[in-house]
Amino acid sequence: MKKLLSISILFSLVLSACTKDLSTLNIDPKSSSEGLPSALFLQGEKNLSDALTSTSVASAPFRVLSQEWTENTYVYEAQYNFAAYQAPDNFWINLYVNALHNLDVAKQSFPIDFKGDAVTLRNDLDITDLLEVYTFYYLVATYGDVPYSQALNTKYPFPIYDDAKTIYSDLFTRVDSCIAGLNTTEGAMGSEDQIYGGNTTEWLKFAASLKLKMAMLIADEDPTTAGQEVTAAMQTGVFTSDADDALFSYDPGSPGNSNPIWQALVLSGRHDFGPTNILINTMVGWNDPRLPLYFQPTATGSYVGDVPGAGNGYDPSSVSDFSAQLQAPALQGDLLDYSEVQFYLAESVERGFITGSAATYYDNAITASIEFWGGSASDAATYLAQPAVAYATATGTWQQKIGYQEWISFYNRNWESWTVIRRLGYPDLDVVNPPVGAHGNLPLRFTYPTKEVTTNPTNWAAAAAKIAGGKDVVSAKLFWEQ
Amino acid sequence: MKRIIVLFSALMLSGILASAQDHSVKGRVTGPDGNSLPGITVQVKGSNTATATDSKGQFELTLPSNSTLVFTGVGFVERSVKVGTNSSLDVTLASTTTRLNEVVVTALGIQRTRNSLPYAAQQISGDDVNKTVTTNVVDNLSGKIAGLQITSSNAMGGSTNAVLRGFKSLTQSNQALFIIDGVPYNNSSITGNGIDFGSATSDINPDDIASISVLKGAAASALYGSRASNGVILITTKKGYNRKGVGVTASFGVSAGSPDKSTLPVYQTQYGEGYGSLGNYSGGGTPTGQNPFFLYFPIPGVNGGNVVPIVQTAFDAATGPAYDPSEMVYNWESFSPTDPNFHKPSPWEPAANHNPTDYFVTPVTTTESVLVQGGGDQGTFKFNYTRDDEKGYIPNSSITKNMFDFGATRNITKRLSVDAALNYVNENAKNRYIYQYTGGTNPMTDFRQWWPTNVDLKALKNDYFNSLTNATWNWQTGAYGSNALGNIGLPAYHDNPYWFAYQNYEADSRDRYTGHAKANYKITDYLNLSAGVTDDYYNQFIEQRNNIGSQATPYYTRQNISFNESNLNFLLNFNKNIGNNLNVKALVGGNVAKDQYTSIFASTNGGLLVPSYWSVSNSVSTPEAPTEVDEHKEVDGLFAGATLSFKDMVTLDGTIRRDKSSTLPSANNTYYYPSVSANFVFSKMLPSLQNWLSYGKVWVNYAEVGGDAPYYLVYNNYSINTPLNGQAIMNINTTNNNQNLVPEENKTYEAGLEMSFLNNRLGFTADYYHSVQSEEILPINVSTATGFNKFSVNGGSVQNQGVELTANITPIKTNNFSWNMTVNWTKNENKVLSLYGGQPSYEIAGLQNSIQIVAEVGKSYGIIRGTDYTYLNGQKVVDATGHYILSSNPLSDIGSVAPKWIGGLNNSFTYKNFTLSFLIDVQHGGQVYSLDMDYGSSSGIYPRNAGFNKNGKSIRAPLSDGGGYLQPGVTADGKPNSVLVDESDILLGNYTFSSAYGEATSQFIYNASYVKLREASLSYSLPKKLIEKTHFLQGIDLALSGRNLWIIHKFLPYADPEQGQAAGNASIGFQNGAYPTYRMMNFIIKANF
Repeated sequence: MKKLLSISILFSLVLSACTKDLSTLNIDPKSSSEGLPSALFLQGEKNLSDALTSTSVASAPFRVLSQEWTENTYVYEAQYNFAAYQAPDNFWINLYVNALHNLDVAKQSFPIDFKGDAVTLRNDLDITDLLEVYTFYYLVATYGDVPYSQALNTKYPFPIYDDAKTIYSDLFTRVDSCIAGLNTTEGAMGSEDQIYGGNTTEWLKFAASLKLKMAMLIADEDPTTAGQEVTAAMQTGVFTSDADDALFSYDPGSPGNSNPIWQALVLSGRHDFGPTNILINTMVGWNDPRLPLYFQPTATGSYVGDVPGAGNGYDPSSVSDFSAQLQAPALQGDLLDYSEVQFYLAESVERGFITGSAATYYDNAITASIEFWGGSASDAATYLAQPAVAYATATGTWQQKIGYQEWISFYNRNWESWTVIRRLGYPDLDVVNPPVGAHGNLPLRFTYPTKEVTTNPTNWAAAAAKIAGGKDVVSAKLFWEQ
Repeated sequence: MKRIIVLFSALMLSGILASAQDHSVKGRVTGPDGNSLPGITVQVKGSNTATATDSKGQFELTLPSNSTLVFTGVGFVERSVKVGTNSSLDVTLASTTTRLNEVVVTALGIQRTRNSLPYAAQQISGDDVNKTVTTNVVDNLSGKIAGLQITSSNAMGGSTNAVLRGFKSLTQSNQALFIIDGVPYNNSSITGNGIDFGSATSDINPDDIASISVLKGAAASALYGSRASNGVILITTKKGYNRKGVGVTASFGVSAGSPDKSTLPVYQTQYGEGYGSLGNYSGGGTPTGQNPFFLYFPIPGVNGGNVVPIVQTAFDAATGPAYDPSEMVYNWESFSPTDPNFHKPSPWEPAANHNPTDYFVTPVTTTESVLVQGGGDQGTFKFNYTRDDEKGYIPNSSITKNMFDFGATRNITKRLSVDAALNYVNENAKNRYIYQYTGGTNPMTDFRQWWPTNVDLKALKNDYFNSLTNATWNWQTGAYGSNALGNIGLPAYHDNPYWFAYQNYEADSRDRYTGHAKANYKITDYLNLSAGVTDDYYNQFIEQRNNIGSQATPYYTRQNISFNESNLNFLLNFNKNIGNNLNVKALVGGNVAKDQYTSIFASTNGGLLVPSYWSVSNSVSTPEAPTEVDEHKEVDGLFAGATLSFKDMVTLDGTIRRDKSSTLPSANNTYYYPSVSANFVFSKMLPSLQNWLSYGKVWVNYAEVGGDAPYYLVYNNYSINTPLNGQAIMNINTTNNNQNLVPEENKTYEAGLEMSFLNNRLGFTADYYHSVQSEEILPINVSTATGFNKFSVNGGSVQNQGVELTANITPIKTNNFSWNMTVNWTKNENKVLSLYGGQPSYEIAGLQNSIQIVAEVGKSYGIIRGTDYTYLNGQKVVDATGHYILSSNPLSDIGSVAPKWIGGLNNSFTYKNFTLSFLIDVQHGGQVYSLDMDYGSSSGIYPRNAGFNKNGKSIRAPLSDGGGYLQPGVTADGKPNSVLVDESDILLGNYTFSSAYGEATSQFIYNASYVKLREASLSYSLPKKLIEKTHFLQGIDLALSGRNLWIIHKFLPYADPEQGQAAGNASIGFQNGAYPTYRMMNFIIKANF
């Protein structure tokens, strides 16, 4: 009977198991079910900086597109071939999934259980929104029409693509709203912001400078709006020195949180890139004081670059390697800086948006860049005094003068150096230095991710049909490209 | 585990005790040929009392008078014999060449005769799978079961996929469930860092298997619940038997292999290492009159400091200079300080030892096994110990396995019996093979994709062992001037393969315990209650390392994994004859299944401080927090079933199961599976035809199966990452989970026909099945503009329908000689019916070179997508320059992984004590994309990348010299292409091979069909008369066999079309670094004492 008893106990155990609540077992003990808004904000900010600092040809091949770098052995992107590593897919994911989504979730979470006052909360939300606007700027300026009104919303697994110009106009509205909302008499978050530490005055300058940057993109296509936005930005107050630069502080004590350039060039042990002949030869020709700040000399003490598009191999004894400071794990991620702002102002003078001296802004921009990299004011003065460099005597139109110098200054602003060519037409790589084995001309945009083609085909097809020429190709001009 | 050990010990003790019984009977069971039959179950009808015959076919049993004994055994017709008061009984059993009345083990271990089986189930004996030595017994099922597709890996200890009746789930496992003596075995494979740690079925001891029963359809497996929705492979192990003393079987096996050359690359030997005319662009340029395909640098202390011609060693490609032995050049060895050629030039020619076989070693496996079986009146026991020592064909690779199996049964009273088993497997492995593309660390990706023939493997071996440094063939250009003894540069991409094998090897160990304990209580002669527990527990420890001096950042990682699954079961069985013609069986049962998988992974960060010191603390930067995983789940099930049999001719069967799973939201976590089945043995109605129609049966069934979700798909999660400058960082996970998930649904119907003719000399079983899996739970890819990569949804439905055919033919049968043939043939048609949100396709896997494996609505599971050509009347179109024009769609459908049909043909010839058998295994259709051929073509290593054109000139010679390559195709107006393209200098874009340079990825899609001589074996049993003279031996069997002996036919060049990427849904259809097939020759000797 005892055995029968034990069997019936087992029986009842099984039966009772069938009525109990099992749902608590389905909570992952190794993940958090709650998001901490400040920690999500920092993740979004870091991912944004990573996306734009990255050297990866699988997500940010801009350094090789602009011919500041080229590939050593596996030459695809330097020949404008993205099939192998799908950069258009990964750049998009880096911005939407890794940057925007964390920022957006932070924005939704800030108001919940907020400890500070309403003003601080508004400041936190505006700072977060500025980074979102900044991110959408890159999306629109890289792809054209992108999901916007239905983006970042789980109601729309397959969002429609909004018109790029319409998005752009809304981005200006959002920046204005942030400018109106940021209250510089009070603070915001603290060290979780690794750019300004929550300094609202700096964020306000950032907002104005971002507006300036955005205006420059549409300066050819819609000069009226661009001019108005430049004037408004000046009134709010743009960056006035390198002290205002939007620099993200990486953590050299943690490889995964170190500067992505160090991770790719030093930590990985790989040698995938070299500087190009066109960049080095241009800088050598103008006795640029940034040469030793950007590169290391070869064994013979000279500066030598690789041939874009060719398989160059890695040999630091005969070709210049990158400088130690570029490869430092603590190098900050540069999102927007004073030099860039001064170049835009020089351009604004030439375009008649503002009054003033284009040459002064041009000198300021170059001086700021040289000082940023560790050169001195006198280095800059010597450099600028050369006829080939001096604004009055340098070769070509203002677009050529500014274009070349902006391109050199944007050495570590890889997307910007590609975009200055797209905006101003200089350096005119297609003419002066087309890569060996190039697949067509310099890409003017990214194609949409192949993942969009497979997962969101209807909306992709509608967007592709609207592209100039009706095809989703890199040679199609975006709305602002004239 | 504890409860099993306690119960087990109690059993062993109680087995020693014996108690008296009223009536005893002894006897001997023989087969139709008069030979003794060991292992036949002898059971007293209507009671629990049972035993099994010993190796002489003898049994002894105590039983009430006037009992009936039932004799059953795999391969023989069941027979009932009235004992009366006899004390001795000799019985002869008829063999079932067509397995008609054979007893088949079905769900929950319930045995059924063929007559009452209303669904497809195929059974084979242990002997069918343990004739050849393999480290995963599941490999040996290939070609033997209709409807079962086995894909195994050629890597040492690699995973084996077992899929029944096609792919049903788009994202979840499609693997059949293995149940060994009632213990479910999780067959999921563990992979990490590109290494396949094998599937858990490799822990099954082949020597311990009595029979394998395959339940193919949902109706057959419905009682097991959703985990069995992909079919069940039931393994029954050997039992002890009741006899005086103990029986001992010892066996020893050895196997050794040689590579099948047709699965290894063949290289072009016209051009060596380099990347075109780099000499013109690098360093000081090419001196006048010199070959620009070499580099020219001064090497300190060499040639008076003047420049010398150097091979472009940093380029892992064979697109360099044409070989010319009259040119003396500085090859990679010239910069390897311990090489005899250090700082010396050598003739520019292919190396003597450049083939992978110069690297491989002979793989040898030895197996020793001892099986002890015995018992007394009151119970039985068995003990099996098997040891495997496997040495792989990659240097420094090995797996050692120790397997212990204990099992015992005990009749405590007439009504109460218990049985328990405990198995322990200990496995230690070293240097398992990497299957993934890991950039210069996987020897097969090196050999198939980046291998210039000027690299000598013997030299690499000598240089490694002489210097114990990473003396590589792939020096950076900068190493030419600086390499010196004790100070060499790091490789550009590829480590010396010997360095990798001896410095960077992985190591792992696993301890696995499985067991069960069960009590059976016979309440009345028609009512039986059983209850028990099962447990499967393992601990695994994995270490991976990359020493200082390797190309990649050095690291040490360790991972501890533990897995536990326990099941609590009860089952009440009713079995009664009502009147003479009607038998009623019914059952009610319950099952609580809990599993938990935990792991912790820790790694050094940013490199190692000290070489060869394997600890996480040996880290350049502060190590990041370990990665932890803790997944747990519970499923509670209740089930019931009833079977009515009329005259053993018509059987009606119905089951229902209710499951409640923890992985679904509370509101939707309970679901039901009904099944109904019927069969009709129509030959019983036609006794007049029995001269030619020996047997005939039809069956139909219908079943619905529910399915739960993988872990943690209901609530959204956030991950906490390593702090940055002291600040917390956290990201939202990239899958949007779903609090409204509902269970998956599968509806299957099946119809079958079984017939045999001419005294069972000819027979077949054929069935048709149709299943639709809907509401599939999957993380669907969404637009990443949502901020997520995937949403967890119910969406997607997949249909499988197919035909399975098994035929047996005995063309010759005489007293001394017989010839049996078995044919298995399966055709499965898979179709994706719909996907979430009206999506046209779902990406199952995104692979290198932008290859996708997708499910596409209206097509079969596993469409391969990539770039394609444009075609005119089926011919590739070229432009005016003779180059192919590619289709503008980079995601064209270029292939499908699904085979059209698979089949096996087994022939077995028996002459006296000799048996010769061989198995031919066939796959027809299905395609595979070879990244090996694509990348290898980009680096110009294959014969297709060199050779001569119609002018008799090398295709890589400049056009001006009559060189050039004619791309086969037509111009836009349909005329054959006649324009040669320039292949002379890859650096200047004059090169068209591979998808990187102008070919479409569809160029590298190959038909995956094959015909293989999978197995052949010759076995011989020493004559009984000879054996009996020894007085202690009872039998000696010898077997000589071979596995993977001959790929009779295939289309894929240089590789085995079966070779995949580890295990899982995306493991087929894509080859990367494919390991070669080894012909394994085995010798086994087995002795019974």
